[in-house]
Parts: sequence; structure tokens; C-alpha cells
Amino acid sequence: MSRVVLKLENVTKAFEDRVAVNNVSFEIHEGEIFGFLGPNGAGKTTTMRMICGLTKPTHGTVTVCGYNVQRDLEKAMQLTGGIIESPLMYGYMSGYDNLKYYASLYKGISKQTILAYGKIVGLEHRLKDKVKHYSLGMRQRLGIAQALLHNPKLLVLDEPFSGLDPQGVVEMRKFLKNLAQKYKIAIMVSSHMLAEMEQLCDTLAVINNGQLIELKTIRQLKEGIIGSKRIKFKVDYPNFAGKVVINEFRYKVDVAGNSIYVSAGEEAVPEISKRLLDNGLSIFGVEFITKTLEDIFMELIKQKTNGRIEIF
Amino acid sequence: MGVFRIARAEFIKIFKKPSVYLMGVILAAVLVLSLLFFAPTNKQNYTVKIEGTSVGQVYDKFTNDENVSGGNDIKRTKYNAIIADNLTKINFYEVLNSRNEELKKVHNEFTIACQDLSSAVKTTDSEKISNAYKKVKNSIDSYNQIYNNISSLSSNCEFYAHFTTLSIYTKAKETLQELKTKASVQDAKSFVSIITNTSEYLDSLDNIYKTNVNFIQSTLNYYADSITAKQNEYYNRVVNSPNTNQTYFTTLKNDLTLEVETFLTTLKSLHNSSHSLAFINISEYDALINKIEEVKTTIDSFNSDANANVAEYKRHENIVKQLSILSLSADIKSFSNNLIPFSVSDSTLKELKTTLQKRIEELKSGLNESIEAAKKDSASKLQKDIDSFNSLVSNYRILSLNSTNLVNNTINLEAVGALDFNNITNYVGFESFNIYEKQEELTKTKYFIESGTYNQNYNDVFAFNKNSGTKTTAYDFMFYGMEIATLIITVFAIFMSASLIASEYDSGTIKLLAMRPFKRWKIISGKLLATMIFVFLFVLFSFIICLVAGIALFPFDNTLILVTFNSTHSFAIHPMILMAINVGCILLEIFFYTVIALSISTIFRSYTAAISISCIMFILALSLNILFGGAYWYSFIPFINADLFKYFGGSFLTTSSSALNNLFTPSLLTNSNFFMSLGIYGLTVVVFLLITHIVFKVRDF
Repeated sequence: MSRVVLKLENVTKAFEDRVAVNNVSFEIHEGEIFGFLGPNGAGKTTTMRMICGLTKPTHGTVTVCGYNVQRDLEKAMQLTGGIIESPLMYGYMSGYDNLKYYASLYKGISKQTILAYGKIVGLEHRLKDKVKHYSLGMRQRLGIAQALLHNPKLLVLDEPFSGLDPQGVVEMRKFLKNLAQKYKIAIMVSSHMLAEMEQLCDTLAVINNGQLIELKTIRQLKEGIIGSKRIKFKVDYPNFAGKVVINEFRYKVDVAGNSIYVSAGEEAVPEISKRLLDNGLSIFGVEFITKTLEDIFMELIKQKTNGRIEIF
Repeated sequence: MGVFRIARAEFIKIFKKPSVYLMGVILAAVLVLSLLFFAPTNKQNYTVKIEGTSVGQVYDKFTNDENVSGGNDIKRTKYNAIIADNLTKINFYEVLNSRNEELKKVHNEFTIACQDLSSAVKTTDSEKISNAYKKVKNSIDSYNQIYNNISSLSSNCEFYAHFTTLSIYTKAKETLQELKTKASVQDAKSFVSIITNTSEYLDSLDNIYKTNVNFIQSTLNYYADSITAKQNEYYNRVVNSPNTNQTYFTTLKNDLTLEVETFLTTLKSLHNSSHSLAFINISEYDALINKIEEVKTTIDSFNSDANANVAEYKRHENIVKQLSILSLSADIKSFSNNLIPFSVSDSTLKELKTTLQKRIEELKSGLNESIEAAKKDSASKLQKDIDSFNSLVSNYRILSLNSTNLVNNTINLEAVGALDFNNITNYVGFESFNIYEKQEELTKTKYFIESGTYNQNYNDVFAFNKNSGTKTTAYDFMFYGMEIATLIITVFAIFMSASLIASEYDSGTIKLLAMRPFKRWKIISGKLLATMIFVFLFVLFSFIICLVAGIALFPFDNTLILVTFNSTHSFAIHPMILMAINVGCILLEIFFYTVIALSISTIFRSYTAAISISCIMFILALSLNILFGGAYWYSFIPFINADLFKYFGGSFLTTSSSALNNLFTPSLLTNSNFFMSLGIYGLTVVVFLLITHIVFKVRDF
């Protein structure tokens, strides 16, 4: 088993009027990309702020590589890098100067290292420009560069995809995956872009109203949801077809338009199509439908909030 | 370590700001402007330089009033008079102090002698009677001696001059005279009866002399009673015996006028007395003077409406009624009761006399020798001889001036101990009396007098817009420029420290900074350190500009400067060292405002709020200087204690300061001292730093 980089134990953060994070526990191992999902105000950023030492948990402990963030802040933060909320830099300085400023806060970061990270995030040609002239995407990259300068073991990224163009998103994804694989950095990412998270993360945690709802690997998550696989039959008389399937099998059936949706695995296709044809129905098409992360996510939130979905 | 790392990083950041270069340009521009507007006032020159081609000529000029060149009055007799005056002043207070003791002693002797005489008369032993007589006569002589001493004081004190005309004193003298005459007649029995009465009278008289104030009070009360008596007589006559001859009324009226006039003169002489006898409250004095004027106007109204178509008797009646309403006597009595004793202890006077006399003797003998030498060598045209004579003359002049300073300040400083600290300036003669300033002057004078060198060859402490030496030196401009630069750099430091914290909140970059491997206190301390390094560079920058400009335009005069630290210690130091102390004080002052700005920006998290609040505080602190300098609570305001250079003599003298000077120079803190100021300064800084650290530590980002 790989080493645990970040460990949260029963972390609770209560504000005067509400509980932002309620009894959250999880671990992130080295080389793992950990996705953190949740609607606005769910407690994502608060959790990340606690990990970065920006705010203190009311209860519970956050440890980075065995160092308690509260007690050994300096040691823990030496191993942590990140961006919380949007990557805000000093606009009046050039990209290089910004990096140099952050580099000067650590021991022994050479000019070469700064330039190398500039290159890694693809800003090598723009480092001399003032940050106020940067686009949001460039600032994101610069933010990541500053977070990596001191070789952290843990990278905490709050909404790293916001403001990136589609190509940028793809590049960022590749870049992060590469970081995790090559340097064994544990990366914690929060995002609204569920599709992106699905492709990027190894593990996903869903948080809502401060509570951790689900914590699974992507595969577990997809498989774990009952009825996650459905077969779509396009037929001439969908209502009749629905009845046939319900009568003959125990599968759950939904009828929509000229199609029926049967919640069953692919092994059921020959049986069902045979029975439909036997009943004189014509099949125009058979299609497997896999649920996206978004569907699962929506479902999870729906379950835990008794059907009430907050807008996000 | 972390603090320095953050400071270094912040420092790099500071110099990436374009505004920093703008600040530098502004500072340089202001310093250039300050040079253009630099118009120092001249320092008073105490040294005397008598021009002459030979020693004899110089001697003549020094001794005689004629042919005096230049603005310096160099008449020898004048200096002698000044010194003599000062010695007399000490003597005056000594006599005042000794008088009570002497009177008491003589009175006891007199009483015993009288008792002896009484018993001797009964024995009818002529030898015993004769001896007892002699004793009584001696006592009477002693009494006379004391009264003569008081009379001799009158030449130095106008108030005493008036006192001698009082019947209270005249009566005492007459009684004694009568006693003496009777004593020569061998009628022992009648003599005994006289002395018994006199003894009682003298008893009551002695009680008057317990303190100076009692003496003054009894004199004033004597007038009050006398005015009351005159007024009552006038009133009773007019009201109760309207049929009296009208001319008699007028005589009574004129008597009263005379009495009031005499009292007014006495009161004025008490007010203007060259030697203080009591602390007189200015407003009470003015009120009494106004009352007297009112009484006079009331009496005079009789003359002014002499042609009025009212019966003369009626007019007299009006006046007496108005006068009784005015009740001048009651006012005089309340005024006299409110007088506060002005007393100096014997030991102080004795010490003062010894110090002064020793130096005077030394200098006088030196001067006399020189004068003798000058007389012999009057033809000498050697510059060396002329110079040495000049230097002695100069020393003599300085001593005479310093002796005035020494005597007045020593006596006044001891006497004001009796006053409530807040009200010193409410008393006549102490309108602009500043304890710290006077103490500073005294320490400096003592330094000159006790060192015995009379070496005035020191420059003054730098003061804003004023020369330290007889010529404007490079240091004078440096001080001037640095004072102005301080003002500007303080504002810059406020901007800088506000921007280092609050603008990080405004832009959100504080989050990226707070997640670095540094404890929160290190982040704050690092930023503070960076600001102070920035401030130091700016101060250094102004210092170099001022130094270069000063040296280029004015003589680089390195004459030692006589510094009086904390008003109690005088020492001479090199001007550059004093300048270094000044720079240190400037840095401490700016540090003070930096800490406050840092604190405010941490609490309010807004750049605009931090700058506006800190700047308002700074401007307020500057105006406090102008508005409330000298108030009792003034020295407890933290801002006022930010500039510690005032304890090295760098404060303005309350009497001669313009608003501009007040703005740039801290006012004297009468009821404070260096250590108290340092304490208030330290406490304020510590409190603000603690608040900043706590707020920053518990804050969520």
C-alpha cells in the first residue's frame, strides 16, 4: 500500500450560525488524484482551507505526511502547495517576479527551478509580462507553478479548471495526471466540471451540507449505483413493449418517446429482443446507456437530501 | 529565521511597486523645496568681542560706556549690577526666611526681660532694676534691627516699600521709640505698665510674620479693614445723619478715594514685584482690579454729574448705597486668602549662594588681574593679549547672564512645587512657565557655572528653522530637511504597511501567503521588518541628500553641541553623534506609526480604511501638538511620546514658537520625562503589536 499523504480524521468546522464541515474523514495516498465534489456551500473550500492551515478545524485533525497541520504548521505546509479559490497574484509584478517572490519564501529554490516550473505550466514565453495582463487560464497555470515550486507532497487545487479553455482543460488534465504518476504527488482537486473529474480522478468524494456522502473510486462509484446500466430499445409500440417486458421479466422499465429503457445488463438483450419480436413488435435499434458521473452525482445528492436538489 | 525570509521576500516585492519610485521622487522633490524655503533664525550670541587696536583701547571700551561697537552692551558696571542683583535676590529670600526665626527669638528674650524687670521693680534693688532695664533695651534694639532689615528689603521690593508706609509698621516703630524714651526716665512703675501693653501688641505683630503670605495677607486685610472703616463712616454719616454739613460728606468721600487709590498702587506693586512674594492667580487679580475700577467709577460719578439736577445729599446717598453693594473689602479679603506662599528653603538659597559666590570670586580675581595687566600693558597691540582679555570679558558677561538664569530658575522651580501642576500658568509671572524647559535651562546653566570654564563655545541643539551656532551650519539644514522628510516618510510608511497587509486581503493573495510554512506571527513580523527596512532606506536616502546639500551650501561646522538630556544631564557631544541620535529617534517615531497602521490594516482588512484611519491619526497627532501642547493630560497621549528627540533638547520652547515650528517639533512635556515617554511609547507599541498578532493568528483566511 502506498503512503498516506493527507489524512482527515473526524474533521468538523462549525461557524457561529452553521456547521460547514461535519465529521469528515478520508485519506489521500501518494500519487492519488482525489476529486472533491459538491454543490456550492457544501464545504469543499472550507475543507481545503483547513488542509492548507488557513482556518482551524473545530474538532478533528488534519495531518500531512504525519504532521498535524495545527501543531506542526511549518512542517506540514512545507509539504503542501496549492491554490485556494482563484489564484490571485500580484498584478503589478511579472509572472517571473511572482514566482520569485514565492520561491524566496523557501530555502534554496534556484532561478533555474523557477524557470523550469514556468516551462512546465507552459508560460515560458509570458513570464516577463505583468500578471495583470494575463488571462484567467494563464493565472491558473501560474498559480499551479507557484504551488509546485517547493516540491510539495500534497497539491491542493480549488477549481483548477475554471477559466480554462477546452484545450487548456485537456492540457491541465494531462499535466496533473503526469504529476501524480511521475512525481507521486497526491493531488486534491475540487471542481464543478464533473465530466472532467470523471476523467481525471482516481477517487471521488461527494460532499453536501458539510457531510461526506460518498467516497469511492470512479469504478466503484459507477458500479455501485443500482441500475447504472440500461438498455434502450427503439420500437414501434413502446407502451405495449413496456408491458411485455414487465410481464415477462422482473426488470425495471421506463417508457419515453418511441423507446423503452430497461434496467438490465447486456446479458438480457437476446432474451428481451426475442420476446419482443415474438410479440410482433419491430425493433429499430438497441443501445446501451451508461450513466455519467453527473447522473450519479445528481442521484446521490437527490437521495441524501430527500429529493430536494439545490441549484448548482 | 522565518521572519527574515518573509521580510526579504516582502522587500523584493516592495521595490517592484511603481509607487515606491514615485515616493522616492516626491521625497527628493520635497527636500529640494525645503532647501529653497530654508530660512533659519539666528542664534543669540553670548560671547563678547570688543574691537580695538590695543589692549588699552579694548579695556576702555569694556570699562566705559562710550565707543561701544556692535550690538553687545559691554559696560563693565552693567555686569557687576546684574551679578549684584542676583546675589541680592538670594539675600532677599534669606532675610524673609530668617526673619521669622529672629522675631521669635527676640520676642522670647523681650518677654523674659520684661518679666525680670517686673520682679526687679518689686524688690526695689536698684542694681537689679538697672540690669533688667539693659536687657529690655537690648531686646528693643534687636526688634528695631529686624524692622530695619525689612526696610532695607524695600529698596528691592516695591511691595515692601508700601508696607513701610503702613501704620501697622509705623505703629510698631513708634511704640518701640516710646519704650526707649520711657526707659531713659527712671519711672520704673509706669514703664512696666507700658511694656505689658506693648508686649501684647508685639505678640500680635509677630503672628503676622509667620510666612510671607501671612504678611502680605495681613497687609491686604489691613487695607480691606481700612477701606471698610472709611466706607462705613461715609455710609453711616450719609444715611444716619443727613443733616451734617455737606462738605464733611465730600471729605469722607475723598478719604475713601485716597484709601482705594493707595490700595490699588499697593496691589499693583505686589503684582509687579521683581521678587515673587506669593503666587497670584491672574484671573482673580484681574477681577479685583476690575472691581477697584468699578468702585472708583462709582465714586467719580459724583463729580461727573455734579451739575445734575439732584440734591447733593441724594447723590452721596446713591454712592454709598452702590458702594455697599460692590463690597470691595470682601473681594480683597477673598483675594488675599487665595494667595499661595512663594517659599524657598534656606538650604537651597545657601547652596545657590555658595556656588555663585565661588565662581564670581574666581572670575573677578581673574578679571582684576587681567585688568591690572591690561592697565600696565595698555600699549600692547598683540592680538594674543587682546584676545585673552576679550575672552575674560566674555566669560564675565556670560557668568552674569547665567547667574540670573541660575538664581531665577532655582528659586522658581522650587517654589512652584507648592502649586497644583495643572495651574502653574494661571499665576502672575508664570504665564509661560514650563517646568521642563526651566529645568533644562537650569541644568545647562549649572553645567557652565559648575564646570567653571564658562566655555560657551558650544553650539545649541538643532532646532527646526533655527541656527544651532552663530552661523547656519550644514547640520542645521540637515535637521531641517530631516524633520520635513520624517513627515513624508511617516505617511509613506503608513501607506506601505497598510498595503503590505490590507491590500493582500483586498486582492486575496493573503491566502497564498498564509499557507506558507510560517507561523502567523512570523508573517506579520516579517512584513513589519520589511516596512522598517524600507523606511530605513528612505531615511538614509533623505539623510544623504540633506548631508550633501548641507555640506555643499553651508559650512560643515563640527563644534561640539551641548545637549541636555531629559532636562537633568548636560553633556557636550559631536554634532554627528547628535544627528545619529536624531535619526534613531526618527526611526522610532516612524516605527510607532507603522505599527499602528499595520494594526489597523490587520483589524479592518481594508487598504483604504487602514490608510485613511492611520493618516487621520497622524494628522491629529500633529495638530495636537499645536492645539493642546502644555495641557496636563497631553503627555499621556501615546502619539505625543512618539518623538523622543525632545528629551535631547530637540523641543521647541513654548514662548517662542510659530505654528510651523509646532508642526515639526514636539512640544515640551512639562509633567513627563524621557523614561515615562519611553514607557508610554513602548506600551503603545507592545499593545498594538499584540492586538495585531492575536487578530492575525485567530483569523480565518
